[in-house]
Amino acid sequence: MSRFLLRRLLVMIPTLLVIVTLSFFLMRAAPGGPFDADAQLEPEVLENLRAAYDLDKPLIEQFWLFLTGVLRGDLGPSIGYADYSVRELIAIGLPVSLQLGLTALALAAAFGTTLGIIAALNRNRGLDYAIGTLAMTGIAVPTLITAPVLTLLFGVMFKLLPVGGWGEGDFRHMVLPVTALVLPQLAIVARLARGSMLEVLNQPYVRTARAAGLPEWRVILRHALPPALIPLVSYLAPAVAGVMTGSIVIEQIFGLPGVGRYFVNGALGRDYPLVMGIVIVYAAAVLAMNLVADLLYGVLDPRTRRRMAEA
Amino acid sequence: MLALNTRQKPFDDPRVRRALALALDRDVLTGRILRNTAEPAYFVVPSSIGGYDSLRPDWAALPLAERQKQARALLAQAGFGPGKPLRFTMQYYTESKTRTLAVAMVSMWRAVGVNCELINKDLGAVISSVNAGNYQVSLYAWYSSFDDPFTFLDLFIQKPRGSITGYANVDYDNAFRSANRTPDPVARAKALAEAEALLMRDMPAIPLFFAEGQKLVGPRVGGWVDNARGANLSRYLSLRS
Amino acid sequence: MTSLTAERDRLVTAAQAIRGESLWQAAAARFMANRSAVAGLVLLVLIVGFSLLAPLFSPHDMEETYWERIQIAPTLADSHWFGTDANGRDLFVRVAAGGRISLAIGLVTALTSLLIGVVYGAIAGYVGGRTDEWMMRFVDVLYALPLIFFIIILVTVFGRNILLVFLAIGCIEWLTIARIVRGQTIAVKETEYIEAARSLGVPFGRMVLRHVVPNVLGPVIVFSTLLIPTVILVESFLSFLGLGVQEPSTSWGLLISQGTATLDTAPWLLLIPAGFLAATMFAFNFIGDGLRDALDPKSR
Repeated sequence: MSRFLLRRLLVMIPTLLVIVTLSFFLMRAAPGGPFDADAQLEPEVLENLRAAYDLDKPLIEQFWLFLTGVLRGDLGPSIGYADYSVRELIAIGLPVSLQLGLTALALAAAFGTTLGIIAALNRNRGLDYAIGTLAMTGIAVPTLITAPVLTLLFGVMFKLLPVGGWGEGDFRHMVLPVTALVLPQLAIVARLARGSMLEVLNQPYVRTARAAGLPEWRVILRHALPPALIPLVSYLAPAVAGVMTGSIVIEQIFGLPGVGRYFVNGALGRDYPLVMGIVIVYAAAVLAMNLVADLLYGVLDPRTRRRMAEA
Repeated sequence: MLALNTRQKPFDDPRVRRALALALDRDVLTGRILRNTAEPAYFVVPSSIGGYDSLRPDWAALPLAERQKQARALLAQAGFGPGKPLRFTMQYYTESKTRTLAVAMVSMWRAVGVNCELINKDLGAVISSVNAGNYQVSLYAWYSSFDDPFTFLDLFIQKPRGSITGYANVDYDNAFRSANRTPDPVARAKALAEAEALLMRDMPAIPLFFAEGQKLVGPRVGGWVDNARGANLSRYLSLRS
Repeated sequence: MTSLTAERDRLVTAAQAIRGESLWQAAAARFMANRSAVAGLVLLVLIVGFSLLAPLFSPHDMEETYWERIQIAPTLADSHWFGTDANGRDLFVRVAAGGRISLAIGLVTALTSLLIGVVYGAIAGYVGGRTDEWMMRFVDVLYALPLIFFIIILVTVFGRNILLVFLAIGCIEWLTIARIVRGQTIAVKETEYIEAARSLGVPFGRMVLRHVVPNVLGPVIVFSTLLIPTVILVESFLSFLGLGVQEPSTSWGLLISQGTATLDTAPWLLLIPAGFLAATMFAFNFIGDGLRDALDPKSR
C-alpha cells in the first residue's frame, strides 16, 4: 500500500508539469492579448507595457521565467488587477471559494447520500418518488434562477439574511450562497446514491449478510453502504477540486470575493499570470483528490484493497 | 456605434454605409429596447461634451419610411437589390442589452433587403479583431476621460497603426488637425464641428446612441455634482442629517 | 434410419419454434412494464413532438420582430400563446426552435461522451496496472486544463459550427463518466462472472464490451440522465464565448439565461422555457431509472 502511495505521489510531479506546460501554451495560442481592451495605445506605450510583463521575450523564455518563478513561490503580477500579485489575489479569493464550496459539498454529500439510501430502501413507493422529485427539481432549476429567488425571499421580503457580500465569512453571509450551491449537488448525489444502492442491494453478499441473520441496519451500513459509495467517490473527488475554481455564477450574484470571477475574467481578459496561478492550484487539487479517491476505493472495497497491496 | 471596415468591399462604398445608417430606427433602439436610458445619436461626439455642438445632419429629421426609401435607392445605386441582396456579418460583444440591440438592427436592415448574420464574441475578441481590421461590421463603443470632442474625432484620422475603420481621408485629417490647433475655444469648437460634419457625410462608422448612466441619489446626500464622466469622489460627499 | 432423421428434423423445428428471448427483448419487456418509465417516455415524445410540430400551428416566424408588442404576456390575441420576448418575437415558436436545438445537443453530446467515457473507463479499470495509471493520468491532465481556451481556439480555427458545440461539451463531459466507469469496473473485476468469462477464454474486446460494460452501466445511466440538462445549460454559457447557437437561432439554455434578466418584468420569458427543461429532465430521469432497472439482470 505504501509503495502504491509513494509511486502515485511521485507521478504527481511530472503530471503537474505536463498540465502546466500544456495550459501555458494553450493559453498563448488563443487569439488576443491582455491589452486589447484598453484604449488604442501608441505603439511605444504598448511595447513598454508588454516589456514590463516580459511579454516581448520569446515564448520559451517566458515559459522558463514562469517555471522558475513558480519554484520560488512567485506567481507573478496580475496584469488585469494591476496593483496585485497573483499570490495576493489567490490568497484573497481561495479561502472564500473553499469555505463556500467545501461546506456545500459536505452538506450535499451527507444529506444526498442519506436521501439516496432512503429512496433506495423505499423503492418505487411514495418516499422514493418524493425524494426523486425533489432531486430533479434541484437539477432542473439552474442556479441562475434559484439564487436570485432565494435572495428575493430571504433577503428582501423576509429580511432574515443579508442579500449579498461576504462580511468576513460569518455564518449569516454564507447561508444563501451555500444553499444555492448545495441544491443541484444534493440532487445529483441523491440520484447517484439511490441508483448505486439499488444495485448493491441485489448483490449476493448482501443476501448472504441477511441470511446470516444480521440486523438490517448492520447489513445496510456495514455491508451495502461501502461499495455503494464508490460511484459517489468517483463523482465527488473531482467536484472538490472544482471548488478551487469557485462558482462564477454564485459569486457574481451574491457579490462574493471568490476565485471564480478571477478565473473567468482572467481568461477572457488574457491575464496570463493570474490564470496560470489558478490553473496550478486547480491542477494540484485535481491530482490530490484523484489520489484520495483511489485510496478510498481501497477502503470501501476489500477486493480492490487486496489488489493495491499486491501492486 | 457600429464600426464599418472601410478597407473591405462593400463598405468601401459610402453609399452602402449611408444606406445602413439611414435604415436604422434609433428611436426604437433607445426608446423601446433601452427604455430611454440612452440618447439617439446622429453624430459621433456625445452631446454631453461641454462647449461643443455637433451639426445635426438633415436626414436625422426624416421619418423612417422616407429614410428606408432613400436607403433602398442608395443600395440600388451601389449595385444591390432584391436579386443581389447585401450580405455581411456583424459582430457584437456580450453585455446586457447588446444582443437585443443587434437582433433589432438585423430586422431593421431586413426591412430594406439587407441580410446580416450575427456573431457573438467576448469583448476582448471583438476589440482585438477591430484593431486588426479583421471584421466587416462591429458593434463598438468609445469613451472619453476628458471633456473635449478630441478623442472621438481622433478615432478616424489616419494613424501608423491604422484607424479602427480603415478610413483614410486626407481632407478630414487636415480639417481635424487645423481645427484642433485653433487657439480660440469658440472658433475651435465650430471648426471641429465642421470637420465632424465632413466625417458624417462619409460615415465610416454609424453612430447609434450615447449611453447614459443612471444614479439614484437620496435627498440627504450633499456634495453631489452631476458630470458627464459620472465621477463622484467619495471624499467630496457628505450625509446631511 | 428415416424415422431417426424425421425425429431429428422434428426436434430441430420444435427448438426453432421456441426462439429464446434475447437479453434486449427481455429488457424491453421489463421497461414497458415499468409504469413510470413509460410515462417518462410518453412525456419525452410529447416534448419532442412539440418542438418539431409547434411551428405548424403558429402564424409567426421565429425571427419576426414586432416593435409594438415587445414583452407582452401570454395572450390569445395575435396568437402569442407564450407571449413575446425583448425583441417582440413570439415565444411559442422560439421555445419550439430552442427545443429542437437543445434536445439535439443534449442527446448527441450525452451519447458521444457516454460512448467515449464508458469504453475508456472500462478498459482502464479492467486492464489495471500501468495502463490504467497512464490512462487515468491522461484524464487528470485533460480535467485540469482550462478548456475555456481550447474552446476559444476552436472557434477561431473552425468558425461557428453547431457540431463544434457537441465536440466541445463532449470533450469535457466524458472525463467524469470515464472516472465513474473505471471505479465501477475495478469493483466488478473480481466478481465471479467476470472470472468465469475470463477462464472461458473470452477475448479482450468481447470481455470489455459484453461482460464488463453491461454490469457497470447502472450509475452511468443515472449520471447521463443528470448530464443532459447540464449540457443544455453549459451550451448557453458557451454561446457567450461565440461558440454555440447564434442569433437568430436559440436554445432553451439561451432562453433561460435571457429570461432570468427579466424575471421581475416578464416572468414568462423564464418560466416557460425553464418549465420545458424541467419537464424534459423529469422525463429523462424516469426513462433512466427504467433503463437501469430493465438492463440490470439481477433487479426485481
